[in-house]
Amino acid sequence: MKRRLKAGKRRNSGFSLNVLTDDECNEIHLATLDVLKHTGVFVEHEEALEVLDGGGCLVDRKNKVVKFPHWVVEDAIRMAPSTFYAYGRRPEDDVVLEDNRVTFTNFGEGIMFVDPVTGEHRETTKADIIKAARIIDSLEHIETYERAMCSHDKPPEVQAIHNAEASLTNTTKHHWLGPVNGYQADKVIDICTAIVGSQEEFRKRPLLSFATCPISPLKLPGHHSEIVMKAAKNGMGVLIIGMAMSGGSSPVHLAGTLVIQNCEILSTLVLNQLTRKGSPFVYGTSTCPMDLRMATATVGSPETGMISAAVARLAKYYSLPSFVAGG
Amino acid sequence: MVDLAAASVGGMENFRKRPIFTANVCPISPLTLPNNTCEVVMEAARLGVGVNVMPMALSGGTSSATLAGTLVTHNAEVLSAIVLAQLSQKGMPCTYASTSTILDLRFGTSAIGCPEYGMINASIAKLAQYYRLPSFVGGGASDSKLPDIQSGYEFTLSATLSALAGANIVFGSGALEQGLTIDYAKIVMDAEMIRMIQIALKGIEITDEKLAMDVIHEVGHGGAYITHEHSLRSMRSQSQTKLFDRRSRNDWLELTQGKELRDQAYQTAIEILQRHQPYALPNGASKATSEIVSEFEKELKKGGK
Repeated sequence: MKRRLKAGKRRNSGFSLNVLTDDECNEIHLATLDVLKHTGVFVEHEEALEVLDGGGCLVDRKNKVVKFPHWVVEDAIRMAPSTFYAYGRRPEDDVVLEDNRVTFTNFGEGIMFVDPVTGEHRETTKADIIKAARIIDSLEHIETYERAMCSHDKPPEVQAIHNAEASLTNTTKHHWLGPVNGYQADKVIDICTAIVGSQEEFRKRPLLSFATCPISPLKLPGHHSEIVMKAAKNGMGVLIIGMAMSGGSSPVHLAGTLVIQNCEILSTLVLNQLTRKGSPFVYGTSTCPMDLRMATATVGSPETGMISAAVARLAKYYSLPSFVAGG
Repeated sequence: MVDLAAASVGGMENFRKRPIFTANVCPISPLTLPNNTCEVVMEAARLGVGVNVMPMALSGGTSSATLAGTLVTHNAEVLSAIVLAQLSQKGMPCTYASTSTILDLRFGTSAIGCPEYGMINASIAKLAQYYRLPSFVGGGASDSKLPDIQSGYEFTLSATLSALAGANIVFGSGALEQGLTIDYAKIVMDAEMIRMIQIALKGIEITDEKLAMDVIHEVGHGGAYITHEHSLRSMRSQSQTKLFDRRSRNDWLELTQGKELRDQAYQTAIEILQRHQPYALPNGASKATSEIVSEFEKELKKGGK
């Protein structure tokens, strides 16, 4: 039997999920602009206030409250690149993050550890990070690396640097790493530079991106602002992880939580893009509900997945790469 | 079986009005309606009972190694049984069912914890919708031998895929070891996860009320939602767990002494057996049902069907 070619047809190239319609994304966007314009965001950093002032925001220096005209926010969204290149130490480790491309990474950062030998539940150490990095390095489907744990055996002021050293020397994958503050951020950049050979090489292929979190509701703390600007100045990417807790630091209803988180991330995006236009930026979330009966953060709840799916959809609406919690 | 069902609802007239039992039939892949399937379909038609047509095509074994090809033979098997049903009794209720999956060609087992199980069954749910037939598809069964982490992962992937496809019934709770073994702990744990999947199905409502703009402006920067009256008023909209643990580690240890979930699930099953009484049968029904069973056994001894 002859089976001739068919005229074009509509195909699903895979399964997908209807999370939010364009109308619903638009509604969240407009609600966000409303909050940013009328209530604004608390920004705890002199230089950041300066940058935002210069960029067209209304800055109340005394109370450190910044209000954002709609156009400032929408300009920043347009300036940020749609594709994020997560460079590894070797070209074969590079991962392209854009549109609907899905990859997985591990969780970070745990502060406790179940010792596989003794079964003891204890604080994590630098040695644990080294082992975790090596395990993750070997796992094909964990495509980028988030430092999994924290060097509790080192003083807090230098933990981020130890975390970075333990990680960078044990996996070639792209790193998402929280540098804690500007001082440690500089040192982490020094370690990266030493590994790739030169500052120039690091700028060309930054194998590490800073990860940092606003504080809900609606606060950009000093270290957060500093890290966001430092990443932009050094040609590095920055991952902003919204950490609102629905019912605790944001409304119980997920719609309202998405607005709060969107305000925090977009205001951070404005600071990032005003520092350096076109800086690579990832829209992230690790938001979950607070179980109001148990007073715990419920990362295992269905709502966590629902929020993450909605954030992935919102990021796509903004043509920004996304990084969301799940698992 | 129809006699039994009729007895338990107080007579054939009641049963015909609200048939509480549907006959499952399984065509044999590839493309065979065996004798017993045909017989049950035609007898069901006469008795006013619906049928649930459930092939178990094994991609790579009894159907094409490609999933698209498997859907074709699966569909042919279901539709041919439905033709027989509708020719026997026009308008007879038919449910489009599936437990098709892949034959794991390395182990020679019908893998039902695999992603393909969810993918095939989600697609079957869509096909049933295309034909405007109610669907009854697999999702949530496991290849693990124990109600362990593997069984939890496998339950969640295929049950969620089938649920998101809009299947009318997703079956698989309690099944381990390619469906050969049933486990009480798994049934109880799966039921908890089903509640979670159902919450996810609701999605996120984006409305003025749920955006809560007044509250957001009022709380402002750095304020607390946890103490706001709005949170107290809306807290019941949050998902709540019964079996899964969301407590802090200390509270969990104190309450459970670190007992694993599956041990608690067995405990729950035992408590249910001690506590739960199903709704009582109509008067005389339990006598009637035991008579039907003993008569059937006598017939069998005499060499009846």
